[in-house]
Amino acid sequence: MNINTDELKKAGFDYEKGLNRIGGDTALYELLLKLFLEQKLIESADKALEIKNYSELFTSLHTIKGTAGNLDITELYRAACELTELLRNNSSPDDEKTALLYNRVRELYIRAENGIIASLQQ
Amino acid sequence: MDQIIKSDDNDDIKIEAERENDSKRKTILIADDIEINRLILRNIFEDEYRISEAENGVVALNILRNTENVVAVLLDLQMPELDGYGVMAEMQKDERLKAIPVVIITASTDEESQVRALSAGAYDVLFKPVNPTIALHRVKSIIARAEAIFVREQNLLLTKQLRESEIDEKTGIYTFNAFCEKTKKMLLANPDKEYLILRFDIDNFKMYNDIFGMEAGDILLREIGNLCKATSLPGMLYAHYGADHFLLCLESELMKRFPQGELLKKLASEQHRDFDIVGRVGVYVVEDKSIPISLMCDRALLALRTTKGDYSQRIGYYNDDMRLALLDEQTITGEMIPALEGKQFLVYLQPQYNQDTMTLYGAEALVRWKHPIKGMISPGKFIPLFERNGFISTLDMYILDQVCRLQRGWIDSGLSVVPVSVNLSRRDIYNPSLCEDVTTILEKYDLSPELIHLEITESAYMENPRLMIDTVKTLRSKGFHVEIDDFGSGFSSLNTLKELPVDTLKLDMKFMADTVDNRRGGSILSSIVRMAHLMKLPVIAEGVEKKEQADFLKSIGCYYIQGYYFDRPMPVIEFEERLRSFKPDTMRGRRFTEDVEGATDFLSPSSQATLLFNSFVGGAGILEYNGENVEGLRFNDNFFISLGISRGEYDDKQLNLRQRFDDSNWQILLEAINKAIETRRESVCEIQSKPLGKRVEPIWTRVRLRFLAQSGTRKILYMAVDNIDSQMQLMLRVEKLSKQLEDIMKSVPGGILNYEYSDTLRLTYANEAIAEMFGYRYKEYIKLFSEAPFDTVYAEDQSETRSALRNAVYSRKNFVDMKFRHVCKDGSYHWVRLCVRINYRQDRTCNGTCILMIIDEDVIRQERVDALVKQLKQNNETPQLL
Repeated sequence: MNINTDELKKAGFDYEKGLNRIGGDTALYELLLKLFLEQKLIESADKALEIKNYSELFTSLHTIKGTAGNLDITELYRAACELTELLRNNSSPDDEKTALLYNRVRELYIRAENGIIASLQQ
Repeated sequence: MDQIIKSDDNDDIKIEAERENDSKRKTILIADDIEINRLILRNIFEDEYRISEAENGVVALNILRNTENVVAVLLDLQMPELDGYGVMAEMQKDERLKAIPVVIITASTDEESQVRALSAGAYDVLFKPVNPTIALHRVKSIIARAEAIFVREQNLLLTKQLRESEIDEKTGIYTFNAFCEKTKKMLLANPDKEYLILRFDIDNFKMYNDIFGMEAGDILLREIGNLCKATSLPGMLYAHYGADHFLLCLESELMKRFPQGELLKKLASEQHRDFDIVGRVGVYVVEDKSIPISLMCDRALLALRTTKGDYSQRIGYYNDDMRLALLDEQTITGEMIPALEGKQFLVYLQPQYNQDTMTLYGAEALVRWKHPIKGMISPGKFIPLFERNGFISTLDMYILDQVCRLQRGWIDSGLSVVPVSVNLSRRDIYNPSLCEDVTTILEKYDLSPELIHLEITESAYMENPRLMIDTVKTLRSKGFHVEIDDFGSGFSSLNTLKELPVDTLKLDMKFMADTVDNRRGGSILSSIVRMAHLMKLPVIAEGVEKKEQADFLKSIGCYYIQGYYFDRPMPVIEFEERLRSFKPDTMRGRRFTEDVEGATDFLSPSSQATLLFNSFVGGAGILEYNGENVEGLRFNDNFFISLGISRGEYDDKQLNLRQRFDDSNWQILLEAINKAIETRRESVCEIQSKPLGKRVEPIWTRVRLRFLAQSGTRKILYMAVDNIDSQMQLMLRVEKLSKQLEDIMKSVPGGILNYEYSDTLRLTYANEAIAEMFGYRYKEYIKLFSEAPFDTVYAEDQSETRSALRNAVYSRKNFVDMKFRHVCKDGSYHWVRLCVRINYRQDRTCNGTCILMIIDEDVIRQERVDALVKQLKQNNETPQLL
């Protein structure tokens, strides 16, 4: 199976670093990409934001952060870090700032999802 | 098809094996709710570890509780159901899980969560995304550290358990502490019963360890422990005190069944047979139950100590005298230094004489303690104590100084002095500057070393042979004369004699108790004297109290005597009298007797018998026979020459002659030996020994044996050996020829006979053909006629044959030809012709070999001819008559 690495790079993946992390095992890398798609981590975050459950949002973003870190989706990882730092130990953060940062995370997340889809379709 | 099934089977086995192997491998549990994270971690560790995965804390705990070999947990903090903190909290509650290292893998980089994780029991924190190499090394080193800690804790735990244990690890019975506690309880619980505390140990256990190794020593202790357990009864408590000391508390009534003697007997038989395991027991009868148990054990030890050094007494009972003696000892210890300073220690001298010439050989200096209040204190009371507490060394040097001072004084006053022996204790041997110390004292009085003899007891040699040898060598190199005291009291005296270069042996008659009455003791004594003389060592007998002893010693060539029979130890003034009235001995100990008992001693290398033996023209040897084996004690050179081998080739055979012979020849030799012993005469046998050296043929020898002496069950025999190999070869050839001849004779159709004549005629040989000729069986013929050969002759011809024979014998004719009728079994007869060749003749004895032929036809023909001639004659006559 070929992965279109250009699509991934465009979508914010540091492909080389990510592949290196798992010892260059491309099959495993592909599996991890597919698992990312399946998990739909963003959905639980969306829900949490909707009902303004910030601790739930924190948890979801924490998970996104870890996963993005492990897959080396660099920008997404940084955005998630920024938001989790805002939400950490803070039950009533600034709504606007939260929304702003969250949109950034969401945008990058969707871009990553799309990038994976595009890279695997090839 | 078959192949496929086969390969399937193989795969199954392989998978099975892998699974088996897998379950034994160290396992890492990865707990993370996100599969991606788990996969990435798995990828890092799965080459070296078996991986278990859990997607939440509950599953993780479940796995931990049901898996034995989890060596680390990689734990995500944030998980559904139960998070990382929850998992750690649960793990802390479980003894086993607590020890498993937890590494937190988290995306939270803030310090607070790190601190929280570490304080909850995590070993380390790693951050997502993890660097694979760093993660692998960190986790590995954490696992190694945790394992090391585990092992150490296990050891600490074990040590602690052992320390607290009541059971002694070495022996499996109670420890001393447990013994004290249990005994105390038992005594309190049974106030009306009487109890004993026994303390036992093994003689020379240290030596046992030295000979067989510590491990064997430990095994012995363990076996004693086992036997204690096996022989324990209600009302008994056993403990191992330490080293080879054991304790036993038991009711007095059980004493009769006390199995100690049997116990050690059993041990001795099962263990090394060449080591006599002797146990000793100290018994304390518990009179005062209020004193501490440990004190009771000490009293049992006091009792045990009284049995030491006495081979006949193995059990000692505590009595209060022992305690008092101990107190006494303490008093003496307190007084000894003031006593030395106050000159309470006096030198007494016991003269030594040459009883043959009644000259003064020397004297032994002995110490006496003249106490201002207690009077004379016996040396037996303080010497052993001083030997234990080390004061003996000081005292020895003091006595030496006193003796030197005396010698100097005597020399200066013009007395003719003799050497004086001064005792050195075994303690002195350990003094590295002993030689200098002694020399310094002599120099102080300007004395030459031959005036001082130094006595060292043989037991010091047994204690530390190497050191003793070195010390003696150093002292002798300075010109001192070293005497070995109490020779024969050690259990390896021969060895001592061989290794230790001394100048004189001192035999204490008290070690040779009953020697004079007892033949065996006497012969031991005479052997020692003889051996010493062979080595040119003077012997002084001390402790000679009776005339019989002195006479006996004289008879075996021991002239130097010290003892009450001649003189007791005496004050200096009295000894000076002896110096004046006796001439000093001029032989200076160098008087030796050769061949003390006048016995032919083949074993001594210098005796005349040995000289003869060595120059004996034939091969000769001295054998020792113990009822089973035959050992060659000595062989002369001709023995080896006659066998055609070198001495070297026989080296390993000499101690076991059995291997030189096959069974039948060995039996022949043994029979001859036994015969020589029984009859006390020379017995002879001819035997074949196995090939030796370059020879491939066995060796034939004629062996003549003569009984020489007996020592216990061992018999000493003299053996002379002739090589009869060539004779035997010849004989064998003759035998072979005879056999051939016999075969020929058997197959000859005529009869062949051999007669011997000596007053009467005997048939000494007949071939088989002859019996057949007359209808007899061979054996029957021999039986009937060998003693009565004339019975074969037809009655009417007997007188004629007898006279023919007599003629032949007396006429010195060597050839006789006879004709007679030979009877047949059926009563008929055959005419026979007997040609006798006399081949041997001496005095009235002769031997003849004969050929016998049936000549019936000749006789018949002759008769016919005779009849015809007769007829013709008659016819001739008739015409004449006519």
